[in-house]
Amino acid sequence: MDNKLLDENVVAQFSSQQVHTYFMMYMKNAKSLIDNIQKDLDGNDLNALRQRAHKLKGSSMVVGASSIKELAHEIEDLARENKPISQDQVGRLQSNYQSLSELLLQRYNISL
Amino acid sequence: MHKVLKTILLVDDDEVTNYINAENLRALNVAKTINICNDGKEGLSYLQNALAKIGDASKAGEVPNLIFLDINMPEMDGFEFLEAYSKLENPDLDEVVIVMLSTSLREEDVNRAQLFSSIVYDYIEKPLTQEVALHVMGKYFQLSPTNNG
Repeated sequence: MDNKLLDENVVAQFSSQQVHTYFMMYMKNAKSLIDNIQKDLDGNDLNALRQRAHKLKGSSMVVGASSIKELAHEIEDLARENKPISQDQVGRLQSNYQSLSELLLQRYNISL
Repeated sequence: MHKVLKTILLVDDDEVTNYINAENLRALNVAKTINICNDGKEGLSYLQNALAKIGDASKAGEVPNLIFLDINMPEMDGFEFLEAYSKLENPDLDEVVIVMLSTSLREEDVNRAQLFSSIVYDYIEKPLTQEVALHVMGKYFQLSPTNNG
């Protein structure tokens, strides 16, 4: 699970200060995006959901948050094709966020 | 070797992407100034303001030499920005290099970008790593014996 959460090749390019700065910013934004994706799902707003998933995919890519990137990509593609998105998929996004949060604390002492 | 540009403009709606891209570009010392706009509408407004200040020496250099342009943005996306940019028809924009950045190389987006081939120089998959940035600089802003920044 740890290997899928983070792309170490990406993180290795950051200094330790950058790891802290980037992930503090990323995790704050990602939390907001994921919370709003849930609201978009509840309100059946596929267009807003697609845009948020796209944004989450992009920022996840740039920091190396691999599993969240992949999940966001799946959700974005489904929304673009007007296909149903399940609560399970959004739930996995939430649980991966939680797991990444724990990993960042353990490995880099980043407390959100 | 590449020139050191006066200004690079980043147009992307993601704060994290803009922050990291700007840091990468600053680390490479490829431009004196890195400016950020959060969507196409802001980007267009920035350019219009910069063009209006051309005659003001204190503001010289705000028209970017290079624009990294995201596609999917609220308010005005990358393609809508290009439409509006095309209509500016200002000779001070003639040498601006626009590079589109996308999280995926979807055929429809690549094809659409080609409609703007007179102003879009390249279409690159994100992330904008230092390696990619240097490739862009080397490709479009090479130093020649007669100009060294």
